Amino acid sequence: MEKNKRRAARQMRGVFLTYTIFLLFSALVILVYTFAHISIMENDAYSVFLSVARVRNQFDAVEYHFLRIPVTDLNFTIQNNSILFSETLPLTVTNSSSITFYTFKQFVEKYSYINTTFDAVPDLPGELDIYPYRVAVTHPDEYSVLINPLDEESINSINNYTIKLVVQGSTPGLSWSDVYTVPENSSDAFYIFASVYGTGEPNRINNISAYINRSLTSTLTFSRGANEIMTIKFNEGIPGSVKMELEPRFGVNVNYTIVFGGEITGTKGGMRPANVTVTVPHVIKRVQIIK
Amino acid sequence: MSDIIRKSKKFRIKNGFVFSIDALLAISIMLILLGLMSFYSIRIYPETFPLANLQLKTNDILILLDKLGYFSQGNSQAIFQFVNKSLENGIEWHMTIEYYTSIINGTNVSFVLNKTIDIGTNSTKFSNSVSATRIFTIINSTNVSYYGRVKLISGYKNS
Repeated sequence: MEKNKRRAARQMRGVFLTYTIFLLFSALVILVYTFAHISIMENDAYSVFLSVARVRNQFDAVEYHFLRIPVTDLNFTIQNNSILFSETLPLTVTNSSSITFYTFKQFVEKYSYINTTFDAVPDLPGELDIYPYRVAVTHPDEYSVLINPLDEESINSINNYTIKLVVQGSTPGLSWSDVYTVPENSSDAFYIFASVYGTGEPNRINNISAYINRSLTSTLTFSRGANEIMTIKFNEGIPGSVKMELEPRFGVNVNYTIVFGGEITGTKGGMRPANVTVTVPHVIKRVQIIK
Repeated sequence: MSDIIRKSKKFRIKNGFVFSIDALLAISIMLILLGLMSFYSIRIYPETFPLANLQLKTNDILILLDKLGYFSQGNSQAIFQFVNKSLENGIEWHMTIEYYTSIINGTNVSFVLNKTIDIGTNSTKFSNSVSATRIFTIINSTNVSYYGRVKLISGYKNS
């Protein structure tokens, strides 16, 4: 009886030891697997890290050169110290762009060492900066144009604005809603000349001009009877700024000229945004809009 | 009775000896595992992270060369000096710069390789290497005169 009990105890111990060894071995296998997994993850993380660096570098290159292409989707000409814009408002939202854009697209897509696609986004042209001054021309929507000097020097560099409107139908009238005129020789003065021409009968041009205070808001309104066609606010918020807003139910051709005290050396921007996709096969694909 | 006690004592001592051997074995296995882990870590770090660092540095060199206008000037001597100064000793590099002109025929655009500049050591001599690439444009006042691409390979000297 005693012998049987002892044998049973030894057998139990044997079973216990077998289970313990099995559990320890399993733990060892899991540990080795975990180490192997961590090493693979580390290599994957490393390759993703390098791919992210390559992708960021490609975006940087495309963005940097895209924003320096010396043509824009805005129609303007520079003559020494003046820049003349010729636009039809509302501005068309489209993805059609210049041949220079298309050539750049072809080069980026075919000659990049990293897989890249580059397309114009259906949108309005972006901000155009006029150099050497810090003056920005933007189109917040199809009906508006903003001209903003960005620093004191640029505010003082603007001599005058000329705005010429052409509308279908009879010639609208134009008048100041608010105006703060100053003498011609005042240090705060800048000159405004605005005209409007209606293509219908009677064929006539209305115009208005004034030296206005560049620090106070003056508003010019183009209207046909009670219908306002366009309002132009000068110096609203920013001295020397212009904000043109077209009533959405109208369409106009507008030519506006900014005359500076010195020569214009160049422009930057004014392009429609581009949609760039950079792909590292099996690792990363990133999309970015640049403008 | 005393014989039984002696036998049981002997059995316990024998058991204690076996358990000590077991513990020693367990400690040895743990030490081997720890040794393998530390060996693995030492093996990983010098290979991976200096290469990652070199990759980032190589990218940065291309960005700087581009934005400082070195590709526009196309002066291979100036580029050679700049890259040599930027990379530390013991690192060899090779750069290929290609300049293309565009031919526009209606809506068809093609590019012709105009000039290639090769600078630096032959890249087959590197043991561990990384590469960075970049596209660029050269702009005169009114249009894009050249489109270009550049590849910089840098690596450790083959010992």
